[in-house]
Amino acid sequence: MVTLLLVSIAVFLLARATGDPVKLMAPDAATQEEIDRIRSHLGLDKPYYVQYFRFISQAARGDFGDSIRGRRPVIRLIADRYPASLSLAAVAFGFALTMSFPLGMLAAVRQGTWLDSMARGIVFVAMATPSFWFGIMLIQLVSVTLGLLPAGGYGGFAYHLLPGLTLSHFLMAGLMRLLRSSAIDVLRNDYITFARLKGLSERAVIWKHVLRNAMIPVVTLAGVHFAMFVSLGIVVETVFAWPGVGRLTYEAILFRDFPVIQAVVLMGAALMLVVNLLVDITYAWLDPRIRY
Amino acid sequence: MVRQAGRFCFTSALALWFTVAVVLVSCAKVTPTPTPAPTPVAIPTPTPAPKPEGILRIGNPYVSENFDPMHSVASDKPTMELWADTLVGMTGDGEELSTNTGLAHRWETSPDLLTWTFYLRKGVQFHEGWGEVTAEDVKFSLDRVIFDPASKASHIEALRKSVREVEVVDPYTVKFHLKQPYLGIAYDLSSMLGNVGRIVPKKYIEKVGAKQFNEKAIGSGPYRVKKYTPGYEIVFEALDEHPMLGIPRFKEVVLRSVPEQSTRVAMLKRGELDVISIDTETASEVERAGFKVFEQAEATKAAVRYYRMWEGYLSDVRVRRALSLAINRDELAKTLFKGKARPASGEIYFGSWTLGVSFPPADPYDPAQAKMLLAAAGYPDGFELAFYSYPRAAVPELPLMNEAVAEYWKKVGVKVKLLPIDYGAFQKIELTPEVKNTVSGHSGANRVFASSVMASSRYSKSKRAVIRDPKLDALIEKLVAAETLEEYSKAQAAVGDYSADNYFALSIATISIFKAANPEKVTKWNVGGKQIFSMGLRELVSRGK
Repeated sequence: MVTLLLVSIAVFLLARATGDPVKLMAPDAATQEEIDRIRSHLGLDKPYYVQYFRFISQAARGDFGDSIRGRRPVIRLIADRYPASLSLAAVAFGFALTMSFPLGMLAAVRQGTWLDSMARGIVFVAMATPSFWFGIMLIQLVSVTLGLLPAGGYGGFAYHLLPGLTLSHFLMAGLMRLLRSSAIDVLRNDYITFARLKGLSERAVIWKHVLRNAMIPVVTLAGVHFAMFVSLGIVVETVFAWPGVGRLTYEAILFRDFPVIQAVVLMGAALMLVVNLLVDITYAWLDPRIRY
Repeated sequence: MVRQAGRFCFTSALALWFTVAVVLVSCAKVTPTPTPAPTPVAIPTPTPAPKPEGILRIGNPYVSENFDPMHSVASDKPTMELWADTLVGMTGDGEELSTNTGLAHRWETSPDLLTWTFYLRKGVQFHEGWGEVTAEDVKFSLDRVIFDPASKASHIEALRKSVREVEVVDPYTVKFHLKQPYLGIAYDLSSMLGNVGRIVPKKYIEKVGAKQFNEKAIGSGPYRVKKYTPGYEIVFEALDEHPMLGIPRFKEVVLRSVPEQSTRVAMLKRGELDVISIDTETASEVERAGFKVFEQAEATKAAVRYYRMWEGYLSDVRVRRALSLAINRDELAKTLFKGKARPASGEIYFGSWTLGVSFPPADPYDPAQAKMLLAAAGYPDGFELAFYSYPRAAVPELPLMNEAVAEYWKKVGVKVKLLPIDYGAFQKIELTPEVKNTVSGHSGANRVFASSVMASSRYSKSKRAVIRDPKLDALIEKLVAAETLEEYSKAQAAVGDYSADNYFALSIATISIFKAANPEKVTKWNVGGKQIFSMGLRELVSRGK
């Protein structure tokens, strides 16, 4: 709760420090009187503490006011966009996990071989590739040249693939690298040698003992990124014309739509807190020694 | 064991990639089937009436989600054009007012210009059974836009200053009583400037409220709003026939938000979109790919704005003239704007459409003369200027143009501190003393009637004035008070000439706006003509009767 309160104050003040939404809306020919009238109607002429108190007391009831630009309830605007962001985040997350786990484990188990080098090379390239460029290249190659998938827009599973792949590549690289190094550490432990000596199959050793023990830092990274996928997929949503929360945030910042900015940031902070809680719970499941 | 483990992981990875490949291939070619062009059919008389057919999909960088004229700005026009009629119509190509296409089939003014009477067509119906469009709806619509303090509509300033009352005379006659003559009233009530003149149903809004109206807009246009996916697209569905437009061409029009230009081009090439917005640089590429490129000529101007011209270096007209002569406009038009712009001079908001105004040729590139003028003004070694550079949607090349202008000025000794900034952040300081010796790159749409923008930004008593010049004040006062079109034209020309002679603004180039389209669906298009921010959607969906 304290975290959310501090975040709300920070975003409230920072948003107002960056510009005037009324002047942005008004055309060049608008007089100062016109601008002042609109500002007064929107309550933006009140002292900051009055505006903040109104905001926070309404937010506590789940009411974030109306969008300055769209004149719609902010909560409705965000609720309309969240399903798109969640579905894209889920697909991207799935891509990242399913690609990073086998490759990360392969690199760890075959450390020092050409497979390990290849995996590390993939990580290096993926981390150095900007999402913006990667997405556009995928569109040109997969959509335009090969004609396999839609270039942009929002729809069924096919529409999720290219943006999902674009959104996931950075996390995939990070997870793979982290899993590799974490698994290498675990493989050196005596209990792994003991497990083999006991006669356990290699599959059981890798997937039950090594992976599980290597997972803790990976879960942390994955959790944080999932929350970021939902709230901050701005670049991918822009490239692929995806109607998610990221683009809503970007447009709200451009137009200084304070109620939307404040609500999105607060919700993002709340989501991050929830994800951290889930990550902590997952720790306890992964490692029975961890208890709260 | 390590080898076994490695083999196992390798096998797992291979299985995974195989699965992904299968999914990709199975999802292949899921693109929508292109709608076949209507096939002409030879039918014996009597010929059945054509019906709206097919879908037109339009990709724009940004699609407004505001449907309420009371809160709309000019750039909301594409969202409004199809479902809401204006009181005063425009010709199909958007060049002139028309008595054939608006809700009013005739209008007239009293000899003293203080009363304007509009006569409505009979039988125009709002969608979904919300009744006939009557004078009550016109009064309701204009009252809320002009007089309601909550109204944020753009291009309303002149109407607010001049309209005293909107009166219902009878169900098909409405009168505007003015406080002072305003010759541009018919233009303001058309789609030329903002969305002020769009008429909405009184009964519907009174029943559901303004917020619900914004969720489900009802109008009288040739299309109704069928579906709206926030942040993504608006789908419009055609009526069978519209009193002014006739039978629309397309059964549905989809207006989709696609911010990234390369994605729009890719979607056009794949047939996922039929019409897209493009910039100058992309126009040639798209033409080579076999698509038609349409141009809204002279849609806007790229310019440099001066601030606080009553102090500092910019207070001297010799300095302002020098800064103009130092810019190679021909080079910019050929290289930066790829030959698709015309060197420009004079006021920012004045173009070839502007009533009464004609332009001298743009200043030649003469850095030697520029240096002489600076020396004569007392700055042989130049001086320092702050140059704020912010993006403007209408002119994507603006930041690059600003850099180029800064380089030209450096060559004549003006040291430029180029400051990239967001426009919203700049607006915080643009009226403060902080902008002494400051300029910014800007763009502005050409206007037929420019009195309101002149009164706002060039009239010294306005809080947003950038210049304090008594002679210019007198000329603007004369412009605002003009009582005939002839007087207005002359007064506007005088303001334009005086402003150009004194370099109160620094126009660089007149820019066109480009659209690319599937040639099977769009063969002729004026892209909105003189309508600011319009896409000319009515022309696109018209059968051109």
